[in-house]
Amino acid sequence: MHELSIAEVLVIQLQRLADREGARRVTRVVLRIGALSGVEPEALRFAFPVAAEGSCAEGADLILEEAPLKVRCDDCGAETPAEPLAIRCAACGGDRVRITDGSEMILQSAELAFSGGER
Amino acid sequence: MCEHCGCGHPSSIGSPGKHVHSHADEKLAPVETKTSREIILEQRVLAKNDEAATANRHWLEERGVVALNIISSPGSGKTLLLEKTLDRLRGRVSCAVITGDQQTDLDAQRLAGKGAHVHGIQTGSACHLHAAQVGALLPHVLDEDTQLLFIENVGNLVCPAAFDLGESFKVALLSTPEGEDKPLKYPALFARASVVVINKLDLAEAVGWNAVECRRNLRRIHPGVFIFELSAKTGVGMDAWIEYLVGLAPPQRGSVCG
Repeated sequence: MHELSIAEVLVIQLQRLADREGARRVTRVVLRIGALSGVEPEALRFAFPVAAEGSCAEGADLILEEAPLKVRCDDCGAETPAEPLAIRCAACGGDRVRITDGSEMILQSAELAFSGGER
Repeated sequence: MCEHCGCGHPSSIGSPGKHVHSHADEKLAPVETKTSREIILEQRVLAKNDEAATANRHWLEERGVVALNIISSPGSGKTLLLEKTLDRLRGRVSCAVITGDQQTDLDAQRLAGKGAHVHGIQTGSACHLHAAQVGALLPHVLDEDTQLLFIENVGNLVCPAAFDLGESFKVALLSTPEGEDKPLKYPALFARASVVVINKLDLAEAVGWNAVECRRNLRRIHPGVFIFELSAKTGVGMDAWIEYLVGLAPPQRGSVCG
C-alpha cells in the first residue's frame, strides 16, 4: 500500500503550492498515472482523502488520468504506443525498445481556491 | 435596494450604480469574494524521492560503484541468494549490502561475516525503501574499495518498483513456486528490472514450473531482459550469475589486485 506514501507526498506538494500562491484551499487535483507506474488508482483514491485530512487539500476532487505506455525503438528510432503486456515497437515490430512514457506519475494541475476575505 | 449587495439599504434607492452606504457597522458573513484558478504543474509526484535518487546515483558513480536494487516477494530467496553470492565473490569482488525489512535485522545478521559491509534498514510499516533512507547509509556502508552494492529491498513485488533508489539497475527475483505468470501480473516491476533471476530451480519439478512459459511472459513485457535461472540452495546455475557479477564489477580504485 505505497499509495498512502504517494498520497502523503502529493498533499505536501499541494500544501506548498497553496502556500506559495496564497490560496486558501485546493479544490481539484489532476494526476496522470502511467500504465506501468505501479500505482493502483483505486488504492490512491482511497488513500488521498486520508492523507489530505486537515490539510488545504481536504475534500479536493482527485481526477486520475491514465497515461498510455510509449516506447522508443533502438532499431528504427520510432516512438510508438505499446501495450503493457506486449511491449514491442508498433512501427517495425522490433523488440529492442525502451519505455519513454507511462511509467511515471505526474501531478498535472491543481485548482486553487482563493478568498478575498479573511483566511 | 442596493444593486451591489442586495442589502436593501434605503440610501441606495434612487441612486442606481452608486454604492454610497457603508456596511461597516453590520455583521455580514460572506464578505469574501471567492475566486479559483487552475495551475498547470506537470511535475512528478515522486520528485523529491527522484532528487534523492539522482544524488545517490551521482555519489555512487563518482566512486565507481555498481548498485543493484533487488526486488521480490517475501520468501523468494533474496537473502539466501545474497549469502551464497557473497560467499562466492569473497576475495574477488568487494561488496556492500543494504537490507530493508519492516521489522528485525535478521537478514543483516545472516549476511554478516562474509567480508561485506552490511547495514539493515527497518522501515516500520513502510512497504518499500526510499532513496533518502539509502542515501543516509551510503557513506557508512561503502568504503573506498567497494565495487558492488546490493540493496535488498523490502519483500514486495509491487511498491518497491515505484521508488527509484539511485541504483544502477533493478534485479527482480522470482522463485518457481510463485508461478510463471507473475511477470504478467506485476508488470511494473518486471518491465523495469534489467535482470530477472529465477530462483528455486530445485523445486521446479515439484511445483510444475514451466520455464519456457515464464521466459515468454517476461519477454512480452520486457523484450531485452537478462534472465538467470538458478537454485541458490543447490548451486545449480550459480556460476553464470557469479561470472556476470564479476564482469559487472568496475576495477578497484585503489591498488590493482591480482
